[in-house]
Amino acid sequence: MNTNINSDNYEAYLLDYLEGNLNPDETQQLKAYVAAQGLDWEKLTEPLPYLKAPQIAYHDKDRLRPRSLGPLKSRPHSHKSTLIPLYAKITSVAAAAGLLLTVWLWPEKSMPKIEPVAELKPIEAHLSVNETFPRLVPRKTVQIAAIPSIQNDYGNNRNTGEQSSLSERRNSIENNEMETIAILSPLKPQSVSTSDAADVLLVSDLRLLQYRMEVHQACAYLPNALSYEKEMPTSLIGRGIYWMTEGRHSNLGDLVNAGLHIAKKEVVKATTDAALTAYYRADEHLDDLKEHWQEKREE
Amino acid sequence: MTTEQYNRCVELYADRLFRFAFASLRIREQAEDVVQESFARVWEKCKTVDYTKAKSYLFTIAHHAIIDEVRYQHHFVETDIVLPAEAKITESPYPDVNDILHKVLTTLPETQRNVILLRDYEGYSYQEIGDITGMSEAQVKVSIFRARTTLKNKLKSIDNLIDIEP
Repeated sequence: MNTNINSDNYEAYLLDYLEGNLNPDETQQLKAYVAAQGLDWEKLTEPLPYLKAPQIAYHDKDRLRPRSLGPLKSRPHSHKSTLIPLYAKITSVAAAAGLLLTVWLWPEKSMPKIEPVAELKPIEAHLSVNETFPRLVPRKTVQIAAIPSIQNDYGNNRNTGEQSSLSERRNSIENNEMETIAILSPLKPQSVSTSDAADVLLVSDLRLLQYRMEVHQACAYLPNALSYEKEMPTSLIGRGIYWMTEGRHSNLGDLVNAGLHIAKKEVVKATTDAALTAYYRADEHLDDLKEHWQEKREE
Repeated sequence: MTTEQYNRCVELYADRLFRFAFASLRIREQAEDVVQESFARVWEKCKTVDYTKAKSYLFTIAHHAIIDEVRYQHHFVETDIVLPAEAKITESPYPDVNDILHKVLTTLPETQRNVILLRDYEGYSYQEIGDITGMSEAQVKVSIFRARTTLKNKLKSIDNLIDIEP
């Protein structure tokens, strides 16, 4: 009997031999094959180990019962959710991983990002969109020389680098009621509150004082400036103005990215540009407004 | 297969299926998933599955689920294998041969692991194992021979280590 022993199956024959399932003829052929291959018969035919099954019980058999699995005929497909098959779990995880990978590998240009300062448009563009918020103070009246030194008018100790907490800052601003309302009054005279004012003025936490100075500077530079980029290559306000002129002030994400994250209230979000203009005006007329407010309080 | 027969399958085979899955995967939660998936699939096809073939069908599903799980882990998850207390291999200074064999078992390729488990735990014939795993009888024998040889060699190397200790 020719058993056709080869390299693919000789181990199967060895197993049969060890289990006593080969007849003498087959055994002889197997020995001949092993010898021909230069293998060690003694080593190959050493006794092999066998596993002994441990006593382990499955404790949750109730979950396998039909009442847990649903009716036999009309078992709804969704009922599988009580017993999620392994392949479904694997598929779900793979799909989620694929989705994340896709998002991660998505071309960068499709993702929102902060425009580089180099893309800033000339400041004229900003000024041209201020039609709904007419500038009350002529640009020409703003002179760099007239810009006061940056002082801590609203509790932000900028020069010393100390930073009060937000609540302290807010309290400080709200205590300065006259000034805040004076500043906000041109903006939303009907709805201004100290809370709104505080929120607007919290912008100073994100460099409102610098904001003010830069607005002044921007306006002062304007007549000769070809682009804001050249004059203020790294300023946040440059970016802010650019966004505002592009009508993107509703894109709070950009503002957040620019560091304007505290300007979160409606009064700022809806009218960032107006706030800038109002603040600008208020800054110019602060003394007058203070005086006016004082008069009103005395009345 | 009737509902009563299905229930009988749960009684007869749930422990065996879990033992098989657990010995192969060594993680209780995964082994339980395999058991549940296997029974759920059988229940779905309860009308068409013959009661006498139910056990083989269960182990066939479990075998493939284990392979999927192992490959998934291999590709996506780095898992520290933690053995549950009831199945933890004895950590005594003198572990018995069966403990060592089960420890070494986890180092075998998943197919070799499953076929040797089906043979030694369940006593399936090589032909039946071939039916379950989709392999030929000869392939099953080759896999089992290689698995046992690996286990034997590991045992011998452990013996040698013990022998050379002072």
